[in-house]
Amino acid sequence: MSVELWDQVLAVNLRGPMLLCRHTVPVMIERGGGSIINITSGQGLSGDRVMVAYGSSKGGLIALTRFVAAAYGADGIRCNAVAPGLVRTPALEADMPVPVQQMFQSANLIPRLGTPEDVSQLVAFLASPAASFITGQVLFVDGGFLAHLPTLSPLPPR
Amino acid sequence: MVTGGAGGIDVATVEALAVAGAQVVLADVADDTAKAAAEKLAAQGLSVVGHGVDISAEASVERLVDSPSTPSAASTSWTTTRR
Repeated sequence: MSVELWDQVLAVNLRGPMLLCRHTVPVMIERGGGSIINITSGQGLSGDRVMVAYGSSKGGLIALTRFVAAAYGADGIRCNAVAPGLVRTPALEADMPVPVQQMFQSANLIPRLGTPEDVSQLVAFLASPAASFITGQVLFVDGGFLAHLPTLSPLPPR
Repeated sequence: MVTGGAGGIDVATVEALAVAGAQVVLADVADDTAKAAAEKLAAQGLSVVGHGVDISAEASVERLVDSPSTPSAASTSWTTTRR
């Protein structure tokens, strides 16, 4: 990995959300509150042999989420992070070979990949008043990918 | 406000928020991509406007937040796609 790649990934994935918080939080305070939802990743919490900049940026984003939640809860601002599992999107179909997709799927307790709607429904819930007591959390929408012992992966047939 | 808004997960998020009654700003790094994705949803009667933004650049983020097309910052979500 080049230092340039590290800087570029951190600039988009971590400086970006920080700048968005920096400039939307004052508007939210003026309006009596708001909900910030950062999209993080399982790679922000678990190690891998590839994509260290991505994982580091997403781990940092979880910390940013908790710091924003801690600083502005009293202003009516909630800040949470959503960690999707592998989601089937056009970008994924273009970038990730099917055998690798199947490797992810074989570690999911719900035996399928995620859909964009799996994630969007959770984000819409967190943005709504129904989630008004939820802040500073990391919510996983990953089919149980990170909920089991590594020894259970790939999941044996029942 | 949904950044990365023209991506697969993000378009679904914009749609879910708009269907729930929110006025949504769909922001993405390419202005034309953001506007095209927003227009597709607006054509379905949803309240969505597109806006270009480079979230890594503070001046660009300021322009997005200050834009008259940004109706409210009451709720914000963003995702990032750089790997």
